[in-house]
Amino acid sequence: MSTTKSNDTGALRPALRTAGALAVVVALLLVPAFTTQDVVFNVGSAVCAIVLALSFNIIFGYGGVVSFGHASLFATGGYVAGIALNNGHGFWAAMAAAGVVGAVVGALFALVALRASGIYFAIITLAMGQIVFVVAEQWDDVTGGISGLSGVGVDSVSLGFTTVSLPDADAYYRLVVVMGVLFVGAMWLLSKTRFTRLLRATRDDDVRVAALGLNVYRWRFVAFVWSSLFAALAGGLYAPLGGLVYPELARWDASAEPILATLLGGSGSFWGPVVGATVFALIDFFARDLNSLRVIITGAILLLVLLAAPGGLTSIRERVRRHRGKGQPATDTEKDVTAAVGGTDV
Amino acid sequence: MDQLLGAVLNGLTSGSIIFMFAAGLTVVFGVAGILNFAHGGVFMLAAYTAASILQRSSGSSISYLYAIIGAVAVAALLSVALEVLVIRRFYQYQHEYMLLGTYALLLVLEGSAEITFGVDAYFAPMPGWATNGFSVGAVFVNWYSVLVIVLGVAMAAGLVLWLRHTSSGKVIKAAAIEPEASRSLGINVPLVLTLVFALGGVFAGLAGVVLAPNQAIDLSLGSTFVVQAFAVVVVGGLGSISGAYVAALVLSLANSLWFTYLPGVPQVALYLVMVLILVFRPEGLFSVRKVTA
Repeated sequence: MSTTKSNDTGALRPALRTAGALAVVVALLLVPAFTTQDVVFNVGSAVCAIVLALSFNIIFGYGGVVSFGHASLFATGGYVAGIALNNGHGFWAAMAAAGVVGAVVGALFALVALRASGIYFAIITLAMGQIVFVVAEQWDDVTGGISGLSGVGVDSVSLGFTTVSLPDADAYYRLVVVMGVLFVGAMWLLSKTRFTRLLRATRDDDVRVAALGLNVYRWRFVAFVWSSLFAALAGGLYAPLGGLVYPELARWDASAEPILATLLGGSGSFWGPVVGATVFALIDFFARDLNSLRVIITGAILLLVLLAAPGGLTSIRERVRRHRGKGQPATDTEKDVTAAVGGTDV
Repeated sequence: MDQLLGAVLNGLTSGSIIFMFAAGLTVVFGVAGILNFAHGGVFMLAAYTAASILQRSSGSSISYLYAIIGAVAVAALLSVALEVLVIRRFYQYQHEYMLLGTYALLLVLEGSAEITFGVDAYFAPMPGWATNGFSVGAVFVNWYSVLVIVLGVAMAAGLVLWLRHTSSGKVIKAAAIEPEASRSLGINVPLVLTLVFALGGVFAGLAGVVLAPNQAIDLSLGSTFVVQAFAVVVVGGLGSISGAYVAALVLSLANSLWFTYLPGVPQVALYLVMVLILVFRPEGLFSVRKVTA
């Protein structure tokens, strides 16, 4: 993140981080051993929500445009995987189909919506997402209509040399964790590429980037397709978890969730959406019996974050450090975010 | 022919209600530059207020007056409270962040509505005279539809004329276009913004009363209407009142014609037409920059 890292802890950090990441993965894999079915399902859903939020941040955090239709791409992946699995295809075929169809639908979104930017982009993607929602809700023969697709499941997964059978929901949950980690890793690698650096440049100053001879439209288009691919893969992974895919997964209020998670965690850091989606999953889980209060709590937390820490939770650490005057300037990306939301302390 | 006439009548009626709701949204956008999700929550609470007054008094004539006063008061006060307490702090943010901030407010309002009114839907009685009407060919036109359509036209024309030709309307336009210059001429810009939110609240309240007798009032009302109204406001050209009126009618007509002639096909007309219009006119039908008229 920061280019001027202090040297005392610098050497230890990568090792600590790797160890931390491994500990999280092991803990996730051990969840079924210590908890109930209910918790396992919720943690699995949270993993899918994290992948979705990260996929959203490819186009938002790096591309600088808000897609208000991302849940419909997640749902597209879910429906495609569900239909493939219910017709007897294997896990890999279902995931591949989900990814391909998601990327194609996403390309269609981008083709139309990228003619505009800012609020118009947000509203056009919202409308296109609603088209997916209405089709899912009313194309009964294919999508199962209002009640959705049920009985979606995976009983085994082929690894080429051997076939692993997945006898119960806990086994599929472990597959979700492994695949989820792979997707997060893939997006992390993507965030380190020249492609992402250029994409950030289009966000910060699209006029200058265009003047340098780069095609802003093309970069954003490619970013949107990557983003859609991962959103659809997250949906494909989610479908067999509860065995059910339903239209509300695609509706616009579902599309608000990855946006809110990203804002809560902070779009300026790769891990921001992970933090945000995790916090939301925790709120959802612990407030699940409080129906109406749950919504109020979610809304209130968002307002607090927007008003008090417009860069998201992951920006707080940076702010505290700056406040103490221990020498580190804010990272470029954080400056951008703060500037983008009109904070006065840049 | 009768089928077409029926579809057009339905489209005009629902388009007029959506316009009443969207009018507040577009005025607030034109002046404050904020696309306000919370407007949906305000509208929903107004509709609940109207429906619960009407339900309790089982539809006596005077109760409709109480319902109008109650709904408009609730909506206007709530709008002002939201602007003063929260939304005011969003003005410095980019549009996307304002959108999210007001979405958070919508969540809070929806939760509050559930606590106050419960999860069961409210049904308000329709006044007797409104269900009467006249026939055009085989199509029966009730007075309710006539009232709604007339109110829609009156509200659109009234707003446009007020902003163009009165001094108070011109003050609002001045505050929208040149806030700094307006301030130096002695216009209290923050107060103008608050009053514009109150005005938006009044429209949301009226739309809530008009809608209440026509459909079940439940918790999905705010988010359903706010999405349709966003479509209308954006397609019409952000900030343009006449644009919002035209867009409300065009989108609702598309919706009801699709419903009539393509009943088996998923009802995507509203969003499809919206996307098509924005593809060819990305800034909406009547694009204006911050000028409300």
